[in-house]
Amino acid sequence: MESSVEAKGYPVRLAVFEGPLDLLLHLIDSQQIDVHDIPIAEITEQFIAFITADDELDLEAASEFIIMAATLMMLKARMLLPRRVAEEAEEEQDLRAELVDRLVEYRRIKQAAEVLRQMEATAGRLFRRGRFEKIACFPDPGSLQGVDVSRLAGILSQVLASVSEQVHQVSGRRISFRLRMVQVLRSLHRAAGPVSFRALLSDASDRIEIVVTFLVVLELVRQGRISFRQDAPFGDIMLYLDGTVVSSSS
Amino acid sequence: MTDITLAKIEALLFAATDPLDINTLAQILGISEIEVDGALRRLQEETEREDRGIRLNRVAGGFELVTKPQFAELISRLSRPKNPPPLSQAALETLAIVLYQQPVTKAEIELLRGVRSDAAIDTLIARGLIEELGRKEVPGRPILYGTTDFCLKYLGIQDRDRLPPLPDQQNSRS
Repeated sequence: MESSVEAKGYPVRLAVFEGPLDLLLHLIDSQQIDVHDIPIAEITEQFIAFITADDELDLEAASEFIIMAATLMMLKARMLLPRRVAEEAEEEQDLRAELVDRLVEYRRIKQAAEVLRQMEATAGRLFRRGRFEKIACFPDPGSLQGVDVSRLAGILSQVLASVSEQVHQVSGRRISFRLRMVQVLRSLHRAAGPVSFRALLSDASDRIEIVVTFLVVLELVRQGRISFRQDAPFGDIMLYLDGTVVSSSS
Repeated sequence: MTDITLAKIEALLFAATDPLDINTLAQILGISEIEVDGALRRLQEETEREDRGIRLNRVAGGFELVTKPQFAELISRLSRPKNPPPLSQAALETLAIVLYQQPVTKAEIELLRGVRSDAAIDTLIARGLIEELGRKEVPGRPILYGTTDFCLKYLGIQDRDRLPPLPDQQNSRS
């Protein structure tokens, strides 16, 4: 069938559709089919082709599409089977009518959404005063009525007085990345063999130094100047100069 | 009626943060609603003139002063307007359902769209476009949603009773 080929030929993601009704409408409209005269068998096949063509479909979204596919298949099956009683034919008509109703209604919603989109864009071009300034929502300033500057100044000095004057001087210890890199390379050269990462940290005095050392190792690996090997999870990481050892997959 | 009425209305609309309706204006000014209506019409006429940058806008059942749309780019040069990003297709569809069918429950929205709509509903609530109106008296007492006044302003709808007409059903059922 021509259109099921279309579904395979074009990498259309189901994510571009708002749901199974949207996809159905797309199939119907793109073939200029009257919504009241849907060729169920063909549409069912196309619908399923679409679902199966998308291998990145997430489960949550998929369930909605699959329910619709099931409904379509049921309709298709009913039509193929000979009807024994008038009741069955009626049931099929009802199912079909319900689906058509939903499609018609959904089409109207899509059209309404389009109208709203245009209104949103139009209204967005009108500016009222204060459109720029009201960035945060502040509590109603009405409670500040009757408060003057001297009163505020008094309150401020009270607040400041209650705050202790202790000032902490926090000086971050600066560790040079470049220097550390030189140190790491030097110890590797001196050892003339593999050095464990743990050994490199023997002279590290605090956490930041460990972090910097680790970053240095990562950088050296990235540059291909050293390679590493870790034989067991949480085991020692052995570092090799010049990438002599293929790093184990981690 | 002197033009001072028009000037007063202009001042009130300029100072107000929300659209003012005719009734409020009439009460504040101590004149009849018909007089207010007349003054508003003249104000509208006058602001439509090309040498005016502000115009009278009818929205959410009231009136407000807004800049003319052709100056949107100009104004954005002054400062970045805090326009929120446009609504997604899912949010627009959900908003359309709420706007035209309110009060409406989440289940009713989802039946119409054929997909789960929690995220879209959350977005619309967070952006102040829809709100809870109460509970539907059916098993489970689901929340009923409706649009807010802000929604009317956001979309530029004149009045709750005057929603934009929907395109007619193209082919009615045979």
